[in-house]
Amino acid sequence: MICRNLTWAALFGIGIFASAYGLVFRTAVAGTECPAYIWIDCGERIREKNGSLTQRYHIRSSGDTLPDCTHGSDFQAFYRFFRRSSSSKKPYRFDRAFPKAGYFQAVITRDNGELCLDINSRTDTRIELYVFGTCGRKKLLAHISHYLFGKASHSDETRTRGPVMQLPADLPRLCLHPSCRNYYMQTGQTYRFNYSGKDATAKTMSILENHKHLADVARSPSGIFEYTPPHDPQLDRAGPHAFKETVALVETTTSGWDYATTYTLLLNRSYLGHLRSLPGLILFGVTILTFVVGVGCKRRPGRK
Amino acid sequence: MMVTKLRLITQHVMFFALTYGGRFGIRFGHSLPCFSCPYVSGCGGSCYLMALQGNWWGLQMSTTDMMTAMGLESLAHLGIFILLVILLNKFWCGWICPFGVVQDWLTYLRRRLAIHEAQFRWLTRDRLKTVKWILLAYLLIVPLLIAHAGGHYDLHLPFCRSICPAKPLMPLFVGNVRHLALDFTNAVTLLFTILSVTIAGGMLVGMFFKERFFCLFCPMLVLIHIFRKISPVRFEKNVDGCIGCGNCQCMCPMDIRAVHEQKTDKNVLSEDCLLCMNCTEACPGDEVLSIRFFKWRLFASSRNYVARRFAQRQRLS
Repeated sequence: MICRNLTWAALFGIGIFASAYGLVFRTAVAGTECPAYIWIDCGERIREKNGSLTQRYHIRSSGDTLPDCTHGSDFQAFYRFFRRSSSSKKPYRFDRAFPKAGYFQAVITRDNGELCLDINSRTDTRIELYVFGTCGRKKLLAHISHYLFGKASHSDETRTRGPVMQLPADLPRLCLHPSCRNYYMQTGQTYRFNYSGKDATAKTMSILENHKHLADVARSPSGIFEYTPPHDPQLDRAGPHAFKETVALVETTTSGWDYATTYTLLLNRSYLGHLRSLPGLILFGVTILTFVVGVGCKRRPGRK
Repeated sequence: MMVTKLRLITQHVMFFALTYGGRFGIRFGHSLPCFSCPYVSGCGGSCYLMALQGNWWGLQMSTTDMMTAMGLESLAHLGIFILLVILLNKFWCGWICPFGVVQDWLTYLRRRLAIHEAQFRWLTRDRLKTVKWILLAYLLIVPLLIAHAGGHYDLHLPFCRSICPAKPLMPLFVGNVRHLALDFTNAVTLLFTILSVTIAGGMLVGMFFKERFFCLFCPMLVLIHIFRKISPVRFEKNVDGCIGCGNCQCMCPMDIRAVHEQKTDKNVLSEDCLLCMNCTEACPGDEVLSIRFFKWRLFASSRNYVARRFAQRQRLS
């Protein structure tokens, strides 16, 4: 009897212990839960006294847990510049100060618990920025490429550069096809993405806006993801300098690793998409006709 | 006919240089005191009014940007503009402005079609003088409101985008009709494009029936006039030699009465004057009207010149 009671007591104790352990374990796991993806958010732009521009980037995640999750993970940021020579109208090319195949490392800091980084540009520059890291069994990569309009003849830009680095070869990348449209990205224009990774056969690309899933884009037979962002009335009302961030996301699983790769599109409102020539030409013609009739009726005869 | 021919040649050379010059590597910068429209792709230089209103070099620049190298650049543009205005003053209007050339073409066409020029009453003519000051205030105040009072950014370049007829009309010379389209992006852009197209249509008719019609409203004319006193360009009248024939007033494309009516002051460069020299060419008095650059006399009226011109016209007709 005693033996049976002891057995039940032991089992009860083990049960309580197991429950408590499970609760603690689950809590611990929740604390280090990896986000589904990360993306780069363009923050404040500061015009420095010498005319150069400092752009702040925030590293955002699918959840609000990124600061906790980064405990034990290694987030790194790399960037390079493409500059256009002031004396020519040639397209943007590698800045001479930058190695052709290399990147400079940017320093990631914490500001109010958020991961962010600052990059300074002294002239008219296209920046290509990658942020990547691992979290548990997940590899996260975020990419952005856009223009910074520095207006200085010199700056301490070089002082903030780190050593020349190479991007890890196995990182899957989501790249925007080179196009003149990339200079001023607009709604209503088609953008083509190429996904290069270990599992280059990823079937779909998700489009996200403010964490909301907007659309899924299927891969074309040529291996390209094509996406045409729709016009946004809110953006249209906001002015030509306003922009919104749309995130393209590809998720794959290869060799036991989960990969989540994002590309942040900075979309302005359409520059030409709302122009209507026919009403304008009709208005122009009607105005001319009205004024000709008006002048013909009212004018006084004068000299030739 | 020498001055007229010289002016025509200069006007046309400058028209092609400023409208198509960019395609051949000619760039006169962003500080030109004439309507060389930057909306013309491949233009050879840009009207300063755009830079003045803009957010890179003008009044729309934020206070923090003014303290940077950009602020110095904007001052450099202003400095170049002032220098150019002081150097040539109203010659920019009568001899260089490409939009002025277009107006002269329309006048030539009207004359070829034997259509009489429309005439304003003097009261109307005097009232119209204030319009260019109102437009100048408009193009100065709105960018300041955007930069410092939170005005909507779609109001930027208010003069260029809503008033200036050069914006929809000048790009037509490079085959671009896009600026005659209506922009349905939002209410402000729609309002601006409706205004722009309507004013362009009205101005086109006005420029056809009235010589140099747009110059009556041109805010650049006012800006240039502000610097007349420190400019070495002088338009003078020998009031004692004037016989009061009124030829100067008859020949003036801007219908200026001041030259004819001036009885005391020798400086007759008025606000609306374009320095086209039509009056000086038509004046039969020896050295009654003269154009000077510092102490050098560029051109002066003479009885012989008028006689030769008359004889030449008789031969041609």
